[in-house]
Parts: sequence; C-alpha cells; structure tokens
Amino acid sequence: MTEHTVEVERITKRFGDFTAVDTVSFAVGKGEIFGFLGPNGAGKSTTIKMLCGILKPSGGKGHVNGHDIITGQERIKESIGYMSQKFSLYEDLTVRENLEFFGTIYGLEDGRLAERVEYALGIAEIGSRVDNVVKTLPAGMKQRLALGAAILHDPPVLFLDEPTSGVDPIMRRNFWELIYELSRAGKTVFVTTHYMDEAEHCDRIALIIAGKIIALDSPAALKGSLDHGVYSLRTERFIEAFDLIAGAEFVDEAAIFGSDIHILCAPGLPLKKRLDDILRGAGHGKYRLEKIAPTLEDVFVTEARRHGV
Amino acid sequence: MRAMMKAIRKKTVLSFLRKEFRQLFRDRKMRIVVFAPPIVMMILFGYSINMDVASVSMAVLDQDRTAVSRALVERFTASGYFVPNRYLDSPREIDPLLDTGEAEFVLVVERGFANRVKSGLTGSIQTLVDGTDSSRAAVIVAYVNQITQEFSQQYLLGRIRTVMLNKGAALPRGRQGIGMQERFLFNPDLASRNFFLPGMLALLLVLVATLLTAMSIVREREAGTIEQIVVSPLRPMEYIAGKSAPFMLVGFLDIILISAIIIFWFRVPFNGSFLFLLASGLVYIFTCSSMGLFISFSSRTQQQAMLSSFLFFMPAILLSGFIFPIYSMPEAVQLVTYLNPVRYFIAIIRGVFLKGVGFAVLWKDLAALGAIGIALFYFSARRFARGIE
Repeated sequence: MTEHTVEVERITKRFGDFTAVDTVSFAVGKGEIFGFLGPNGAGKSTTIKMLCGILKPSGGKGHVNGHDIITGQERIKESIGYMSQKFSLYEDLTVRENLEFFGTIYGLEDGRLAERVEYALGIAEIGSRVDNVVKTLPAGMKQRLALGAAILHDPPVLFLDEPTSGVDPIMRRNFWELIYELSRAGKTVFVTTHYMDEAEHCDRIALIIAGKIIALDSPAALKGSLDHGVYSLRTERFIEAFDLIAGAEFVDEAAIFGSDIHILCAPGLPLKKRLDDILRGAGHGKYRLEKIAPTLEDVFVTEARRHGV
Repeated sequence: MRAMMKAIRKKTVLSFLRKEFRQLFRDRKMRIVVFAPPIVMMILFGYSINMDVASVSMAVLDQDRTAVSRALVERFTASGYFVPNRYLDSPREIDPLLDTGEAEFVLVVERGFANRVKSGLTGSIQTLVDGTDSSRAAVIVAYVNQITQEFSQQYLLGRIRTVMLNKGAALPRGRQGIGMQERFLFNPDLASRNFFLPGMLALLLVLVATLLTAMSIVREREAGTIEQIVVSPLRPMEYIAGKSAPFMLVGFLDIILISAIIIFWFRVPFNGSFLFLLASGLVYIFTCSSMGLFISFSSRTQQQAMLSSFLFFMPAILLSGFIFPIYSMPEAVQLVTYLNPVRYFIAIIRGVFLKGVGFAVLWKDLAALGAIGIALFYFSARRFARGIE
C-alpha cells in the first residue's frame, strides 16, 4: 500500500454561518493528476487554500507531504508549488530576477539556485530572453515561466488554480504536455478548473458543488456511470424546438450545443416516439435524433441536478 | 519586539529587499518621483511661506500739509515696514483703494493737526487698516502704535528742550523715561521662515513615506503577485518589513536632502544635534510608513489607498501645530492631536533646529512617536496575517 501524498478526512471550512467546504474527504497518490471541477464559488479555492497551508480548516484532519494541515502549515508552504490563474510574477523584473527572487524565498542558494533557475528557464523555453523584463514576454511564455517558478524548489506537490484560463488552445495543449511530464516524474498535481475539456486531462476528478464532493472518479468512469441516455437532435428552427423539448416532463435536461440540442433522459425511454408527439404536433416535420456518448459536461449537469443545484 | 525579530529571517529578507529596490529604482519615473517632488516643494514653499509683516502697501491722505505732518508721514515711510504707493487728495479716494487691496493701510492726517499739536492739544490721526487677515492687521496696528508713540515722545522732548533753553536750564539728554529692550530667544529675528521651514520636513516626509508604502503594497495586490507571496514560506513580518524598508531608506535620504536645503539654502539656524534629528527622523519615517501599511491593508485599489492617505494627511497636517498652535485648539481637539504622529515630529524638529535641545527634553515626543509607530505596525502585521485567509 503506497502512502498518499495528500490525504484529507472530513475537512470543513466555515466562514460565519456559511459553510464553504463541507466534510470533504479524498486521498491522492504520488504522480497523480487530480482535478477539482466545479462552478465558481463551489469551494474549490477554499479547499486548495486549506491544502496549501493558507487556511486553517474549521474541522476535519489531513496531511500534505506528511505535514499536518493544521499544525504544519509552514512546512507545507515550503513543500508545495502553486500557480494561480492570475499571472503572478513581477512584470517589472527580468525573467532571471524573478526566478532568483522566488528561488531564494524558498531557501535555494548558490549552485543549487543556479541549477534550478536553468531548469525553469528550460521549461519555459525562454532562450535568449532571460534578461528581458517579464511584461515584454508573450502570454504563453509567461504562463510556462510561472509554472517554472512554481516548481523551482522541486516541490513534490503542485497546485494549479485554473492554470490555462485565457490561453489559446495550442498553448493549452503545450502546457498540459508539461504537466504530464511532471506527473511522470512523480509530482502530484492538483488542478482546479471549470473547463470540461481541461478536466478530461486528469487521472481523477472530484466534482465539487456547494462545498461537497458529489462524485469522484476517473473521467471515463464518471461518464460510464451516467445512468442517463444522451441524445443529440438536429432540426430546423431549433430554437423553437428547444423551448418545446426543455419544457417536456420526460426530458431531464436539454442544452443547446451549436445548432444541436443535447437531451438527457431516463435510460430506456422511447425518446423518438415521445418526441414525435410533441414536435410533429407543433409543425416540426423533419428532425434527426442520434444517441451519443456522454461528455463530462453531461455528467456534471446531471449530478448537479441530482443534488439540487 | 523579540518575537518580531524572530519572525524575520535575514537571507529571505535581504532577497526580498533586493527585489523591492530593483522595482523601486528600475523605473526612471519612480526614481524621479521619489526625490524630485520633495526638493521642488521644499524650495517652492521655502520662498512662499512667509508670515512676516513687511512692505505694507500704504496710502497717505495728508490734509494738513505742514512740516509736522510731513515729519509724521516720513516716520512711517522710513520705518521699513511701509511702502507708500499713493498720496491722496480726497477722502473719497480711500475706499476703492482698500477694496481693490491696492492699499492695506491708509494714514489720514486731518487739517489742523500741526496747530493742535503746537497748541498743546492732542493732534489725532486716523488709520484705516485692511482687517481681512486679522493677524497681519494686528501686527500693522502694533507698528502704527509704536511709530506714533515714538513720534509724539520725540516731539514732546523737543518742546521741553525749547522751553528749557528759553529758561536757561540744563538740557535733558537723549530719551527720557522707561525704555523697554526686548530680546527674543531661539528665533532672534522673529523670522516666520525659521519657524515654518523646519516643519516642512515633517510634512514632506509624511507624504513620501505614507503614500509610497501604501501604494506599493496595494499595487502588488492589484497585480495579483501578492497571491504568490502568500503561498510562499515568506512570513508576514518579513513581507511587511521588506515592503516598508525601501521607503524608509528613501525617507531617510529625503531627511538629509531637505534638511540641507533648509539649513544651507534658506539659512535657517540649526542649533541642535544633527544626529538626534536623523535618529528621531528614522522613528518618524517608521511611524509614517506603518501608517502607510495600515492604509494599504484597508484599501483594495490604488485609488482607495490614495484617498485614504489624503483623508489622513489633512487632519494630520492641520492638527500638528505646523500652522495653528495646538494650545489654541479646543480641548477635545487637543486630545486628538496626541494620536497624531506629525505633531510629535514638528515639536522635535522645532526643538532641534531653533532651541538646540535634544533627547533630554524631547524624549517624551520621541517615545510617543515610536509607540504610535509600533502600534500601527503591529496592527498592520496582524491584519495582513489575517488577510491571507
């Protein structure tokens, strides 16, 4: 049985009357990429803050890298890397000055510092721009540099808070390759996101809504566990059709995807027949219905409904 | 204090300081902003702050037109305080002059003045003074009193002399009666510049140290870089110390620069110990910088920080004794001034510059200043530590 790098048991955080995180438990192993998926305000950030040693939980217990999340906050800070959605290197310092500053803050010195700075420069593919002021770098390079700065001190656990928001798809892909590499090197990576496609990259995902983890598994298993039929419907005048479908009592969830309508309904329901009844009646002559594989978004939406959100 | 020191690691702080200094001085604009305004303001105010009453513009309406009346008018013009710029012919001309401010003071000698004086009656003159600025008017009236008194005394003496000569008696020598010799201590010339200019040091430093410190922290919060600091092992004390230290150094250099301008350029006498001025200046900058920290932790944006700073500056300056003496404020307000760091430093500066006193006399002010600084620093540190959450 391998020791978990991160393990929390029933941690809770209350702010006054408001419970931001409610008895959350999970365990993450070495090298795992673990995703937190949830809407804004669901408690993702609060959970991450408790794991980073910034916030003290109101209840529950846990450890990160063997340091207790209540008594070992300072130790935890030294042993984690953190990168936030907001670019947070100093724009008015050069690449090297930034890296050297963050290195020393984490206690790196001399040879070791120089070695790690070189490593981070390599990750960010900075090339000849080491002495350029950071604000002159392109967005993708800045983002990789932020990642490089976060892992300067070689932390075993890395927290990425919506790391790819505002980055174009190619850079995003590029960035995820870096994260896979780190994971293969044995780093445990936490990612919070509200992008479904980003969540697909994770080994396991925790769906978090209203402070509670409502589902936790691999993306494939989560999709497989969906006890709903998922269909895609294509028709002309789809806006009118959508209003009809969304209002029908046998439809659990309907959403527009481009010019298609995705329909979630109970498994085994004779959907075609039921749709005929309402659509034909309203003059929608032809339409095409097709059963499709559920996406994480479908899972998310269904789970959210089930938990009354 | 020991706990404060323990919460700071030398190497980390040095690295943090290096970064702060780089950021502060990388920007050419910033390098100028830090030093130029205090110097420019000092020179500008040095020339403009002058409460001395001199060159009072004067108009004369001499209806008597005799040797005696001319002699009286000459007393005024020769005094050095009055500049006669109009000689009038009619009382009707007086009002417009006062209205436009062309004359602040009008001397009216009535017809028959010389005759009345010669015949032993009281010759009267009328003086009209622009009372808009009450303290200036009071000084003008004092000058007028002095000049007319001297004039009438000398006139009397002359008369006595003539009478005695006629009777063949011995002549009284020189001035008679009781003469007062005033000697003013600490500011012998009673130059208002000597009183106000050193105080400028306190004003400029509170602006520089408070505003720059507050802005620097809020800027970091706005940029989001503070988030990266919060997750790092950098401790709150280290962060706060690192954030305020560069501005303390800048403030310290400003003390030297500004004092040099005051002493060497404006020739304000400096009677105390420069070392004591520097040491207490450092305490003052620490307190102002802590005020900046305090403001920054209650502001979200740079505009908020700016506004809060100015809300602090106005009362801090007006209730410091810089312009209005504290003893003439209502008692409740006087109590409030005990919380005002500027008040203490103004007292220290004036003591050091003019009276030449030092620690033995000023230790209470210095202690109060330091206590306010430590309290503000402590509250800010706590606020920051809690703000992390």
